[in-house]
Amino acid sequence: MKPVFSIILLLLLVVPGCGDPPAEFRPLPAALGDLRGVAMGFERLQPLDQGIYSAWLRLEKGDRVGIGTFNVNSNGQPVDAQGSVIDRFTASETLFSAISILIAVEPTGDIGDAPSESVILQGPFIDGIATLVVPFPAGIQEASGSYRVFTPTDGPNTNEGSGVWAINANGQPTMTLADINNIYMYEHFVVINGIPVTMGRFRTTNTKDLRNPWSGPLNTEAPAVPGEDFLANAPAGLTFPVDLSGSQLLVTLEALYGDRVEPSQLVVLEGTLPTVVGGEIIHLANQTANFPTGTAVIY
Amino acid sequence: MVLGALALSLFIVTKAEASTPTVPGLAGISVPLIAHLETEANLKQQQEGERRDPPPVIDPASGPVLSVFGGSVFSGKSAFQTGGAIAYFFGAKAGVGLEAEASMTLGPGGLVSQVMGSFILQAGARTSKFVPYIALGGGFLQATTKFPDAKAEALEKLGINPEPTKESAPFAHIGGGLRFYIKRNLAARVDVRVARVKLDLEGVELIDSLFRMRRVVGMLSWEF
Repeated sequence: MKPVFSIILLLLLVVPGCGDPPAEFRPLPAALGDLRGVAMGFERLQPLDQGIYSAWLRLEKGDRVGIGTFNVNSNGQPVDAQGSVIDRFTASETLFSAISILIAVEPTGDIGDAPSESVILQGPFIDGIATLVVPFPAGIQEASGSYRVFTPTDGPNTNEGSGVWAINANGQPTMTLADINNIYMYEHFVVINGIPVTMGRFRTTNTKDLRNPWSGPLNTEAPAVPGEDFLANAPAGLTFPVDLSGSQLLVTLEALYGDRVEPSQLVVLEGTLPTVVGGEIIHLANQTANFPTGTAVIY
Repeated sequence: MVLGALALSLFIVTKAEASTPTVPGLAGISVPLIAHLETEANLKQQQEGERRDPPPVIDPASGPVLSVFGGSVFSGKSAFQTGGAIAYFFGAKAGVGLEAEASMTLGPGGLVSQVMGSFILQAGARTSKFVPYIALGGGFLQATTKFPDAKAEALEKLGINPEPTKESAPFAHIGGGLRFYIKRNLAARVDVRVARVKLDLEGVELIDSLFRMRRVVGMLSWEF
């Protein structure tokens, strides 16, 4: 008789049963701490035309749990591919011990078992609530800068309204940006007639940026600061040399890896060129207060 | 009157002497003495025998059992459960019993109150210090969730109203345990149960509406 009892007891202890927690919120699992749902909301997070957002939680024991992909609507609510609002993202395991959440941009729309390098929001959970912010470099709220309008790569007094460089009339760098972190790089753009044209990526403001694809033949004359002349190799839809009057200047944070051609929504500095003939100094305004934010709640 | 009383007294004494075996002379004194010594020797032998090999406890094992318990429910985070139970075991070997239990689980996100009944099969009650048993039955629970104010406020800002915050549900359970007799009527007990709670979910098949709960508790039981 006793061996039978022992075997039954052993089976009860070791055999896992069926019955996963429900995807929808229920008081019983919630009361017992089996919380598998996340509600999210965002401010100023832009809907993606290409790619999709993905959300990932880090658990106390170090595991990472993906809770799904989404886009956002104009109200900052997460929506699915059909545009329906997602009230609750559900995880396959309990999130009670989650310590942080991360929102990434998946440029191709496909996700694997890890988020892309293009992190846009993250935050720690405190009592199941996370305030999501851009993991920007420290001190970026104080970033400032200006561009001088001129074209050093085609000689003096030629097409002077077709280039911008982060330098003043005395040859000093004019951009003051925070030291970059291991998530982002800076990139600057000119938006000409609605078409964003990159001027190259850069880490520091007192060296050249990594590209000068549109500049003239006198590259050696280019100052050692980020900048670009728009003189040659015009992309589709534009003709160079171009008159930059009315164009928009952007300095953005871009993902270190997996970056896209278009400017990201993380605009650090922004300015607009007036009617220019060359020699103007264009001051940029800090836009980091407009970075997206969000809230995530485990429930 | 006096003569009557004397006659009655004499009759009683005579009857008492007649019922006592009479031995003449010193033998009349030695017989009770020997009997006393023999009884003492038997008692010593009996006590020594008991010390060497205690006889099994022969005790009608059926009867009511009162228990109190505390332990953990494992479903998500570990939650503390405490409660009490009353059982009645039937038969000379107390192999079959019925138990009613009420408990309260203090979870990290709320409170779960439950009542349940169990049919118990056990072996060796009071004839062995260790008594294994299996149990199965059903019950009813009520869960109440209370989010902290900060979380409730955050959810409200997101347009989420986590209703309902209270739910009742039936459940079935199976389990077992081991009873260890500390004293003749006092037992410590480890009890393991696996339960499936039938949640009221719309558009979900039965198998997918079953929520799993497991618990391990330690019990103290007093048998009457």
